[in-house]
Amino acid sequence: MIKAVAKEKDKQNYIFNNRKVYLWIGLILLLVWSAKGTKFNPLLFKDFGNTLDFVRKSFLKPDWSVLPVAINQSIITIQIAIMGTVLALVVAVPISFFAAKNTSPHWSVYGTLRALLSFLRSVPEIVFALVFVPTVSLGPLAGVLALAIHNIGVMGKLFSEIIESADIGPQEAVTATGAKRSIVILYGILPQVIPHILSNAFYRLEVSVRASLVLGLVGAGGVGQLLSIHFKMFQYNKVAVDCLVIMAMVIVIDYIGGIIRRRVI
Amino acid sequence: MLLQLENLSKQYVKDEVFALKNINLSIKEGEFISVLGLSGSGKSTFIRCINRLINPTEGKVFFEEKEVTSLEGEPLRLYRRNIGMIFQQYNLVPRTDVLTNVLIGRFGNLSVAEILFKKYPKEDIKLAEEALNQVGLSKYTNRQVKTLSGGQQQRVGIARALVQQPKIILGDEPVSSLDPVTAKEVMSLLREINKSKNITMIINLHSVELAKSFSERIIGINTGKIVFDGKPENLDENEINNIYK
Repeated sequence: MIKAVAKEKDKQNYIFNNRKVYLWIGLILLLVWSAKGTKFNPLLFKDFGNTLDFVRKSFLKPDWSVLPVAINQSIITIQIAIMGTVLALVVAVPISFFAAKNTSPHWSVYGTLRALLSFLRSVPEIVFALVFVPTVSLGPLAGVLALAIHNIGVMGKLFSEIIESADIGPQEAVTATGAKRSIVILYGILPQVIPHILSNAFYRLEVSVRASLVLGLVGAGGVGQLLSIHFKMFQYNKVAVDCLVIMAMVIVIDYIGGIIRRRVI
Repeated sequence: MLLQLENLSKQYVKDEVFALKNINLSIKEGEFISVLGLSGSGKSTFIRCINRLINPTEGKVFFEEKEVTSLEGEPLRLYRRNIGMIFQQYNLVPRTDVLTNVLIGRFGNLSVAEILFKKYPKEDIKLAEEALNQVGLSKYTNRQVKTLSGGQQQRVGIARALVQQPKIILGDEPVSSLDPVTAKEVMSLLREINKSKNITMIINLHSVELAKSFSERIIGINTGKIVFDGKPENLDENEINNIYK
C-alpha cells in the first residue's frame, strides 16, 4: 500500500520535472525570439566608447543658463500631474463603487464599467493627448486631459478592487442594525478604504509626473517639451541640464510621495 | 414564543456538506443561551440565519410567531432592528469615534439625510450616552475606537447593540479574543443586561466553563446538528465529549 503511494509520488515528480524542462525551453525560445526582433547583438557594444564620447562632450559641459527655464517648466510638469491626478480621483471614486462587485447596483453596471475602465487603461496617455490636441490645441491642458482619462481607468480598477476586498466584519455589523444598504456602504466600507484610496492616489501622482514628461515630447508642455526642443536643436549642453532637473524632480516627488503614503495608511 | 426555528438547514455549496442540518428550536423571551461547538461546527451559520446575514437553504425562522425567512428589502431591514449583534473582532467602524459607533445602532431608524449630515435626534444621542454609561465607557465618548483596548472595544460593540433596543442580542464568539479576566467581565455585563432589560441572549462560546457559569441553557452543535440542548447542570463529561468529538 505504502509502496503504491510512493510510486504515485515518483510519477508525479517525474511529470512535474518534465513540465519544468518544457517551461525552461519555452522561456529560452521566447528570449531568442525577442532578441532577434530587437536586433540585440552583444558585439555592437564594442563601440560603447562612442556613447562615452557623446556624454563627455555634451553632458559634462552643461549650459547652466537654461536652469531657471528648466525649473519653471518642471513646476508646470508637476502642475499637469496634479491636475491629471486630482480630476481623475474625483471621477474615479464614485465610479469605483458602481464598478465593485459588492457595491454595484446590478451586474450589468459592474460589467459595463469594468470594460470601460480597462479600455481607458489600455490606451496610452500619449494617444489621448494627440486626440485632444484638435480640441484644446497643443499645451498643458491636452496633457492634463490625457493623464486624467488614463488615470480614471487605472484608479477606477484599483479602487473597485480595494472596495471588493474590504473587511466584511464592519459591513455585517452595520447591516445587522437594520441600516439601509447605502448606509452600510457609507459606514461599513468607506472608512476602511479611504486610506488605501489616498495611498494609491499619491502613487498615481508620482507615476503621473513621469508620464507627463513623456507627454511633453508630443507638445503637451512642461519640462518634457523643453527637453524635446533642446534635443531636436542638438543643444546637448542644455539637454544635460534638463535631465539633471528632471532627475532631481522625480527623486524629490517619489521621496515626498513615499512619506505621505506611509503616513495615511 | 419569541423565536422558533423549524427544520433549519444551510448548505453553502450544492451537493456538499450541510453547515446546518434540520435545526428545531424554541427560544423564550429573556433566556440566556450559550451555543457550544467546534470551530466549523455551524455555530456562526446558526446565529447568522436568525438575523438573516445568511439565508438558510431550507426551513423557517419565526420571530414573535411571524415567519421571517422570506422577508426581503424593507421588511427584512425593519426585522433586523429587533436583533442586536456583537462579534469576535468587535467590527467597529474604524477612524470613527466611540459615540458615532454606538449611534450606528440607531441607523436602522434614521433617514439617509440625518446620517449623512450627522443630524442625529437628541433622543438617540441620549440613548447612546446611556448605553455607554451602562457598559462603563461614559468617559470615552469622543475617543477614536482604535485607541481602546479589546475589552473596551467589545463594550462599544455591546453599547451599539443596546441602542437598537433589541429583543435579542446575538453574539458570535464575543469573548474569544479577550483574556480570561476580561472575558468574564464582558460575560457578566451581558448577563446583567439580560436580567435588567430582559433581552434574550444567544451567544456562541468556545469555553465550556463560561457557558456553564453564565447561561441558563446550553445548546451543543456538532457538524451542523444539535447534539445537546439543556440546562448547564445536565452538561456532563459525556455530553461535552459528544459536542467536541
